Amino acid sequence: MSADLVILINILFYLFGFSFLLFKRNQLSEQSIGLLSIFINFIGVLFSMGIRLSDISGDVVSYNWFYISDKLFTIDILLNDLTYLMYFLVQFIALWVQVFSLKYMHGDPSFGRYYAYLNLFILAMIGIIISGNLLMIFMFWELVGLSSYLLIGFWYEKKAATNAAMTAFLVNRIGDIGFFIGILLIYRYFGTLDVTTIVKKAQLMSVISLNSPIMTTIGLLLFCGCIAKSAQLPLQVWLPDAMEGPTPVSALIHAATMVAAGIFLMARIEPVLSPDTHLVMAILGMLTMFFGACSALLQYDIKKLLAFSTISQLGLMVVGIGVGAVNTSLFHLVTHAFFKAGLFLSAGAVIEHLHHEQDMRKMGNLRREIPIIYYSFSICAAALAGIPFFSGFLSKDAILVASFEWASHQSKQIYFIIPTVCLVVSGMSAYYMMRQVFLVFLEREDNPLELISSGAKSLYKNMAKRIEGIVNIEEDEERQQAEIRHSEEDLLGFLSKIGSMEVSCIIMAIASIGFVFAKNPFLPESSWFFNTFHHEAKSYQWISYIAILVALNGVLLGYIFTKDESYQLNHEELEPKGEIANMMFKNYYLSEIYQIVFVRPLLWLSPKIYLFDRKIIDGVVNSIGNMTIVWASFSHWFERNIIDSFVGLVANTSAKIGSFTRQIQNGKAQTYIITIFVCLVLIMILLIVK
Amino acid sequence: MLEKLTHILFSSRVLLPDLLFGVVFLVIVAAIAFSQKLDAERTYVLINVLIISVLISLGFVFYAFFGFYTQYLESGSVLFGKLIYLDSIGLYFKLIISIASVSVLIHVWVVGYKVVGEFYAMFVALVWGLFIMTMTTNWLMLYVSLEMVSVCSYILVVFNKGKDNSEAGIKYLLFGASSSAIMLYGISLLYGMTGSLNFVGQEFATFLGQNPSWIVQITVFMTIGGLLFKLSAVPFHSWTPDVYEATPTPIVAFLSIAPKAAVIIVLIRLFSSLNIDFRMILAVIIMASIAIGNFSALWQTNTKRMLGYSTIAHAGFMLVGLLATNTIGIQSTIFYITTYGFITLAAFLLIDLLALKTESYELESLQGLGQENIFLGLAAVIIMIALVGLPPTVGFTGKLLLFTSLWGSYQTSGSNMLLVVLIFGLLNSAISMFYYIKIPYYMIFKESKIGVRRSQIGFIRNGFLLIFLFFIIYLFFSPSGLLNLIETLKLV
Repeated sequence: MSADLVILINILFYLFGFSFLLFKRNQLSEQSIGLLSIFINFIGVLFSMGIRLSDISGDVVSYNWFYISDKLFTIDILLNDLTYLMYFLVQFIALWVQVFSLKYMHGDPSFGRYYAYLNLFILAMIGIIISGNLLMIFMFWELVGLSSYLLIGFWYEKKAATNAAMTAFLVNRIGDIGFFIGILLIYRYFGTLDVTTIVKKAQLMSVISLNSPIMTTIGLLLFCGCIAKSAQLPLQVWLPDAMEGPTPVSALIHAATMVAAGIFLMARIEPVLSPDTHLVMAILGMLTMFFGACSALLQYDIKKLLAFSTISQLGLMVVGIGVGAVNTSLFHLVTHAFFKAGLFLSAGAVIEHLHHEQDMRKMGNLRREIPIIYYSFSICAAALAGIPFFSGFLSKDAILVASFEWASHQSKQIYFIIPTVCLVVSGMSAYYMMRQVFLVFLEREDNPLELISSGAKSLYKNMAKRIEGIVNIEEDEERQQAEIRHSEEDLLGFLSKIGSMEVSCIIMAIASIGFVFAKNPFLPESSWFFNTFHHEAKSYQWISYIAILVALNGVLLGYIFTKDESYQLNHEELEPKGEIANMMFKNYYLSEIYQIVFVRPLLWLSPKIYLFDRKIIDGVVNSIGNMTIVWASFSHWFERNIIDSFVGLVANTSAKIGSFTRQIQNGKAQTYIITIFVCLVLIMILLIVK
Repeated sequence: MLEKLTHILFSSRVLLPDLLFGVVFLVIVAAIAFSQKLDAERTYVLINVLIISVLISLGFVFYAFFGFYTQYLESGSVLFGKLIYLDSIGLYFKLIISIASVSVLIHVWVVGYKVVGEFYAMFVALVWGLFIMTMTTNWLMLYVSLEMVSVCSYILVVFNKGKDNSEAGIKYLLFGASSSAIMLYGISLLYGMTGSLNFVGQEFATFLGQNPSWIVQITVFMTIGGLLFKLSAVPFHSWTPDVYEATPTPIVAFLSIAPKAAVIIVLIRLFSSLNIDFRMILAVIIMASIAIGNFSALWQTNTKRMLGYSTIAHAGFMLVGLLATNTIGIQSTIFYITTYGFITLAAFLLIDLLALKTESYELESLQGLGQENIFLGLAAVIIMIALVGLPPTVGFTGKLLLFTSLWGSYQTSGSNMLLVVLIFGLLNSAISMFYYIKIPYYMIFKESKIGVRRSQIGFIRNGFLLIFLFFIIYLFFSPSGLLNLIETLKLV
């Protein structure tokens, strides 16, 4: 089977999963729903791996779709390395999210509907990934918007959830308008919607023509779509609100499906973007990253903190594209997908464990209760914080280095502000992750240094005992056996705690370890990712050491400040003290500002427009209607008296003629025969007279 | 002598498929004669065997002609000393007659008429007579075959042995005998004028042209009297309503298409070889038929009787193409009669199915039937507007072609008479609406007074009706296939 066929079949599977589960959602049991959905997803993952092996890259498969006059529109499937990567990534993460949901959504009355929507979501995202032309991308883009709307508002009995879904949908529409205008302009300018053709044409352009106002407009309009979908600065309000949806959905949205779509789109069409667009992206990404991180510093809600951290990380990716290092951004997209999925799934497990309590101030000491979650969360958090040996360090470092390199090529020194902010933000992310780990898992009095040292000590002791045991093998065999039995029991106890949730978290945590991506966890260039997607840092490699330093400092500061903070925690207080802190906590009052600037005037205006519609337009329509009625009554009179009487005349005449002709038919055979002869004679007379 | 013998042998060989009918007829008669006292089950088997043998003999004709006699068809061949002409147009009419026969046999079977074995013998003889009619150009042969058809028809009409049947049969017989007598008298006059019995021959036309025009016209009119009787055109129409009302529906359905098709082919042969101006009489016949058929039908309350009058009107329409006296006119006549076959068979099947529910052929009894069974309601609408000649049914296409050819003929000849016929025909199509629409009107808009009727129509009957409906609609949307076929037909 060719790769495009495999992909089409795969998409049909998801479509089948969606429709089947939606129609049968009330008939099927939870087990069968989950099994079917996960089976479909598992097949998808297998397919995606199979495609990678078949390895026919850089290939566009086209099917004719429809004509508008003589313009052919096609269905294109673009098969290159980026497609393969994202195709695998999305389905892999979705698989574990689905496994996680088995337990998380257990007992929910709308279990079937949930899995149906998940299938639609994956289908839409895969659609964006494989699409080879902008029209198809736009269609699946809208489908992603729709499915996110359905999933965020999944618990539609909750007012907050429906509001959040509405916000997400409307905000995305704003971005989509820009994106759509951008697509139309591209069609106007390039005469095609085929991505590969557009990219080729753009690459052949000279720098001057690429930097023309029209290209900048196109770039900015396309970026609009990314701003809305990937939650960049003015439109990021929907993402924190979207936390009202089920937690596994948040994991899916933040890791692989929705917010990744914007970055993915930018990466696909990067050569089209003019230098000015790049600059705008870098600045906007920087601002998003900084403000997102600031907001994350002060959150109390376990999920909201993660949401703001996502905004911040997405900002970093946009900076990466803005400075022209697309592949580093993609690398960060991949690593971020794994550790953010891990974080959200672990957070979901915590929330589940605490019976849907999300306030971090009321948590703590969970390290002993759910150790597996603790470890996986810590690994993912370390990855996010940019600690060496974890995946986040590699990708962040690559972006940092690339941005420093970019700044050094610019004419003015002021451009160094962007990499510097990146560095600061990476410290801030280390701070808030440490804060979260501390508040959620550690005892308030715990000292991580002690923990690490005691852990090391016990490990050393164990090993020492083992060695001792090996040395004194004859002496205390019994004791040793008891110990082995003891450790076996420990292991069994540990294993017995592993359910579907824990498995998903563990998988994500493993995927967040640096060795998965690179042989040398200090050198991003050694990763397999950059073997396929070429990127090389030529200078500023030393930045990575500063980054390590900043991250570790962030962790340390986070620990110290949170420890201080934890003594003064006030559970009743809803907002942090201080104007600036409050502003950051409330996401800079953006929602409130939008409420005042856009929503209120609309609400004020709409009754006026309604009245206008009612009085003026309806008045005109009604008077036209009245005129029609008058005319109709006239024509009715005409119909009644003139036409009907004419028809009646015809009918009466026909009936009279009929009653005459009928009289010949009196049933007597002799009359019939006489008729013939009379007719014969008549015809003779007729002919003779003529 | 030897030459003649060889010719006769050759002719018999070529006409073998038609001669098979005689064999089948004899076999059927023998089978019936020796199986009078069979029990019910064996009678059932026997009747099935009879049906199959009729079908086989019909099938064999076409198999033979399409299979290994094509060379005789292409140029046309003359058999039995100019008694029989074989040509493609005749074969096409045989096809129409065969379709009608098969459909009538199925009609009898699906509606469940109890018929005795003789029915099939008579039916075979009737079909054989019609087949000979489509092939002959000899007055004597024509007369013999016409009488064969007539006699079989008389017997079939009285088959039910009821009082009404006998009355209708006697009227039919008397009327038919009179018509034949007139026809025979006409033939004798023609023979006296020309000394020839073969009406497509050159000498026949030449000698005929030497006589005064009005004498020839009257003679020809008398001669075609027997044909007009079969066509139930005015003034030879009077038998139609009585016979249609009393006779079993499948036989009526057959009489409303098959003999008419045979008559039309004879008339086509006759008028394309005669070079006399016969349009005057033809126009009178057409207008009188259409007028009397339509106006009398307005008053009818019995659906079968109403359809009887409707066939009189349609006989008038069939002659319109001959009035046009051009190739397009003949082709549109052939198209019209083909499509009219589908429509009339469907119409009689429909009223029979309705009668299964209501056990009556009265219009009043149809009240509310369409609301009860929406399929029958729709079928009634489609068939009746096809009879009127409205789109989207093939009835419209047929009438359109006829009147187009008439208009073309008017354009070339400039005869006002043709224009009068054209306008009169169009107006009458509108008038016919009044009574055709009554059936669906009663079925759909009137409320039923006696409540829901129990009996079900069943899948096979509905399916059989659906086949006709399909052709009625399909031929409207793509008539080109049938038209192309008709264009390839050739006279000898």
